[in-house]
Amino acid sequence: MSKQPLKDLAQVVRSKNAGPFEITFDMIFPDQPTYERVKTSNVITKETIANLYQIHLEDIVELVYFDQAYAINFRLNELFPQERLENEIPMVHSSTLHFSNL
Amino acid sequence: MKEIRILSPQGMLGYGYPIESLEYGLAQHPHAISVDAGSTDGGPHRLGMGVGGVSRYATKKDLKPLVIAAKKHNIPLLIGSAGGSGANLRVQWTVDILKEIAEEENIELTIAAIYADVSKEWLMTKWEQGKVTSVGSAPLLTEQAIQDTTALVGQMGVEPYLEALKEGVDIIVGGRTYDPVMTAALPLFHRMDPGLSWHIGKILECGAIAATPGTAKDGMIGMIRDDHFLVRPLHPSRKCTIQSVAAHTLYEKSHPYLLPGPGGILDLSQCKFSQEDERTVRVTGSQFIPSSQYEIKLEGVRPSGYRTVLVAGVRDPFFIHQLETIIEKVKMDVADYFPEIESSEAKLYFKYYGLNGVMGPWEKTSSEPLEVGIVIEVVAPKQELADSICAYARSVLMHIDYEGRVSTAGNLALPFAPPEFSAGQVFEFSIYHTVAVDDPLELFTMKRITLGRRKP
Repeated sequence: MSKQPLKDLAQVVRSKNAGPFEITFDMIFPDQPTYERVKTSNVITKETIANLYQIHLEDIVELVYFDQAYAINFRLNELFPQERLENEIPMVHSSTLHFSNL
Repeated sequence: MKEIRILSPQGMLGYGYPIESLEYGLAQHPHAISVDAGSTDGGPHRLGMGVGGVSRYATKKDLKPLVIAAKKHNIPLLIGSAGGSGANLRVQWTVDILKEIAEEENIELTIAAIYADVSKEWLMTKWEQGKVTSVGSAPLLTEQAIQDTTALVGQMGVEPYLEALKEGVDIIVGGRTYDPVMTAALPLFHRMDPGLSWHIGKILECGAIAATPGTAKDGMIGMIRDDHFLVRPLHPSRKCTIQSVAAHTLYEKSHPYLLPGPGGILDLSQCKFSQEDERTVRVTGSQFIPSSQYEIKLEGVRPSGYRTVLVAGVRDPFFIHQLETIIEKVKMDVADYFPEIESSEAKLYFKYYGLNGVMGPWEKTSSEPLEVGIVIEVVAPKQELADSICAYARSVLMHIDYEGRVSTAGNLALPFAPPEFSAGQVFEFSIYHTVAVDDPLELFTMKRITLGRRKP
């Protein structure tokens, strides 16, 4: 199967803080065939995410496929640990998910 | 068939909403109006300083039509996390605004104010009893963290609201509250299905964000029935689609379909969304699993110093090429000059917008930009020291020499005079933990208040 950018497949690609200590990422696909195609391609894995964000596998708390919503969600624990001021985390919206080729 | 209709006029009190949306919503004969007024999204500062995320002006402007509508239609208005942080003084701030409205409109308002401040002594006892657990990746709670905390609230569940609804008041002004509670309260009061009640609360708490186009500056109406619920945006220019509602189910959640809250977990793994009509989505299968131990989430903050910020631009390609080396030199110079930096008593941070200002170390792509916006941030035990360090760092960065330098008149383009901004006191979350309680009401006290004109 040929490579296709995530932005051509997903309808929603976003990130947001979930409480002060976590950041959660959603990719939501427009229909079941597109979602199933991404899901069965097995491209979005913890390894992919770790590579994209240059983090360790254990920094990814969870990666969940939510079939009813045609959605993939993952969350990371620490928001820029070395950059952040103690644990003061500003609200983060939408702009931090890599649109890389799948 | 029993049906309870809840009107959620906006995602956040003070964000504004179209008045025609409110009118459409009221024409559907809602049984309650619910609105969220708070969040921790803005960081620990609001709780620490006792301020809000929206102005008093905007809060009053948004509240007034809701108060008048609730009174006219004789339905309760439920406000949660009053004043942003939901601390006691922010509940009082909201009550004061309601008092002004009651007087201006010459109406009588009965209020149930529910307070959510938590005493450190109470928490210390619970901590000693081993009843405190970290939420997610929050650090383990320590005695020091409790002692350093200057403001502490608990996120109440639905139980205090059920007590307030028994009182039959016009308005409930809740302190810090689990977001879905304001919407879920009346359906749960009328013994509607708990799974559906909590899920409709999750969707409506953000106003029309679950619609498309989505926004927190507009609202939705939810209709909960025996075995399903319907959600529809108030404004004809928006609609709910399976996609928009399903997407919202994931919004700002730690886990997409297991949503823990006070008293239990909302399990959406069996939930189904279907299109009821062009603008309405039907939801079924939401399940609430009560937990064996009732837990309250606590939010506490401690002061961590004073901040000063500088914004400067650079355009010199030689400078940009050597940015990292230059900043390292600046940091060393500042640390030499200020022992407080050397000892980590004060902290100096740099951000580079145009390079990796948004993503920080998570940034993977790199290319040399045309311009870079540099933000210097200093946090120190005193404002004056933070100001001094920031000004000194600016002077070093302005005139520092580097390989191939030709711009000898100064390295920075400063957009503002004065270049530094004293940003005031800084806080951090010291407590983000759950505590096991025997009684869901034990932390929260209610006060009945009558405002405005007395009935003859």
